[in-house]
Amino acid sequence: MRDFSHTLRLMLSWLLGAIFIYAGILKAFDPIKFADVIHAFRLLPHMAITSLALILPMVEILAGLFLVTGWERRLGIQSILALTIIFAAVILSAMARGLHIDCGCFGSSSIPTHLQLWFALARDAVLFAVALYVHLERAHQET
Amino acid sequence: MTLVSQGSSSQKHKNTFINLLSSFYGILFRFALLLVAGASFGFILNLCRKEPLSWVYLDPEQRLQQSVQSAPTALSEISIEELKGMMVQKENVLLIDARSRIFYQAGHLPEALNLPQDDFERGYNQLRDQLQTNGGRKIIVYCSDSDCHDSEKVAVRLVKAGIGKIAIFSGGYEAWKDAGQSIAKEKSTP
Repeated sequence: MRDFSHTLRLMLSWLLGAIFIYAGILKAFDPIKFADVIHAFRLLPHMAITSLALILPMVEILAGLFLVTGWERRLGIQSILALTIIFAAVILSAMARGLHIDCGCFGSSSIPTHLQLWFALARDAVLFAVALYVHLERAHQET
Repeated sequence: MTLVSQGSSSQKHKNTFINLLSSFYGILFRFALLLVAGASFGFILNLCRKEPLSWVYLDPEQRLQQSVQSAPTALSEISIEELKGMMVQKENVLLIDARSRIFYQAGHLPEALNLPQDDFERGYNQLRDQLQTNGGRKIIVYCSDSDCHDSEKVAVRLVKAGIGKIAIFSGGYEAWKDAGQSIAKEKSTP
């Protein structure tokens, strides 16, 4: 049973890591588009948008690499937990302000505009749940 | 005995608190390192790009204005009166409608050709010969009205493609129609 949960945790870590590396690479390859997405959320001044558009994809890639390689896996999972919480807060704030925008989390989406934020929130919740499971299971196995 | 027990319990709580604090600061420190690493990679990668992201973000409209200003050939703007004068005097101009095909089909300026901004590559390939061998004709680009920017986008792309002598009729189709000028339908659709 312990072996099974260890294997499951490892596989979920790899999956989560791969997802974040993929998302980071998509954004890093098209920073202008990602900066436009950040701008569409109307939360940050123009001065801060470029910095975030350059830093966030790299943080996602690094966190994903930590999970995939196992080096600093704890930092990787904690970063992903923090990122998913921040993403959820940003998406909820956009929904509360009635914005119908593409979240830009994984490049362009073909989902109708009015459903995109709901879909992004659901996906973010799933990623958070998986990350929390990996984190708690890891803490449980360490004790 | 009770005093010793109370003292040990308080020491234990103190240790737990210190551990928690140090682990909290430890996590913060590691997050900070991750951010610094992310920032370093991100900024270095940006400097290596062919067209690096400007340090202060420019929204799409500002970027468009910037490319219009830095276009190799300055774009001029013409008013409806100037355009009417050109049409009356039968000046050698080539009118380009930058709106989507469906709007073009519903009505456009007489003799205008459709080069939609949203399907530029296909439209440009079809009109390439007429645009490149226009015999020094002035090209006038328009879209719906003064609030649309498709004419500017198409004009900038034409300038970048090496097509010179371009002017923008900023009033667009609506201004032309409101002025009671003749409208053509379903003509020269590429």
